[in-house]
Amino acid sequence: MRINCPCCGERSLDEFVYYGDADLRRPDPQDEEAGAKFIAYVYERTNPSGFHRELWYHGLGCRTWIVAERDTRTHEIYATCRAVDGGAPEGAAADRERS
Amino acid sequence: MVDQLITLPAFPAPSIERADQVRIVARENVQIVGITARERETESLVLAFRAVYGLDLPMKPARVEKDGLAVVWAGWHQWLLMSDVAAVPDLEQIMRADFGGYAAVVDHSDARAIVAVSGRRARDLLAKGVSIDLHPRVFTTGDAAATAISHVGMHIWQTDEKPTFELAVPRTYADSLWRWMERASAEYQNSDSLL
Repeated sequence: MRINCPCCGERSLDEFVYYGDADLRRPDPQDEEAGAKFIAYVYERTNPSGFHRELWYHGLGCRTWIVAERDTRTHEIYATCRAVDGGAPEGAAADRERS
Repeated sequence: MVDQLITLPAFPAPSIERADQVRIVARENVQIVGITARERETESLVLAFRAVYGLDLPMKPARVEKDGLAVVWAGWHQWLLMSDVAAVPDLEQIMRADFGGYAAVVDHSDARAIVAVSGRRARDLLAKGVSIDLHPRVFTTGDAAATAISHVGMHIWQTDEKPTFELAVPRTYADSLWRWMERASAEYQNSDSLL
């Protein structure tokens, strides 16, 4: 598998570290149900078959966090971007607009 | 600070010569300063740098040089600046005075070690440990990359058409890289070896 780093171009998988789901949102610790929500946030994953937005770290390269949109069945990568540029989860973007 | 520069060489020998095929040279006495643009200050930094040094900080993996000062792209809005110790007394102090308002300025002289690899088999040698393509069609003089050699993270750039490549690795890995270079280049020790 090769990942197209937005800074460096296409690079071998072994330069990257996988971090997982890019759309997880850290729950509010003040929430009444914070305990249950944190358990879900830390442990529960949907394990989708197909489209997945995920975080990768280009550790043996430019050290940029990247969001990749990948098909978990074929490993085809549809798009990549720097996490700070547009990789924020939809929930986070919506939160920013509201605030 | 120059007086704190490590005086012991980073590499166990000054050079490795492989007939007329590959030459590997330890580049000691290079001052290395890393600058990282502060948030929303990149444009000001680029303008200020151009005004003072007549160089455009590269926004993609590349290297530029003028009057003994070399600039290598080192990540998003990050650069490594290099000059010889003998030519410039204290690069970090100068850079901080000039650009400290726009960028974090850190001396990397004690953190990195630079080795130059040149000669007609230089690409063949590096291909044994580097996963990116260094063929002249896609990587040439002035190009740079942040990648790895033999599992060690490094910055690499090409300085001329001999070709000469320079590699900056963490100083603590310099010895390991040197041993790798010795063994990986051993097959080039005879000038008449078959291609």
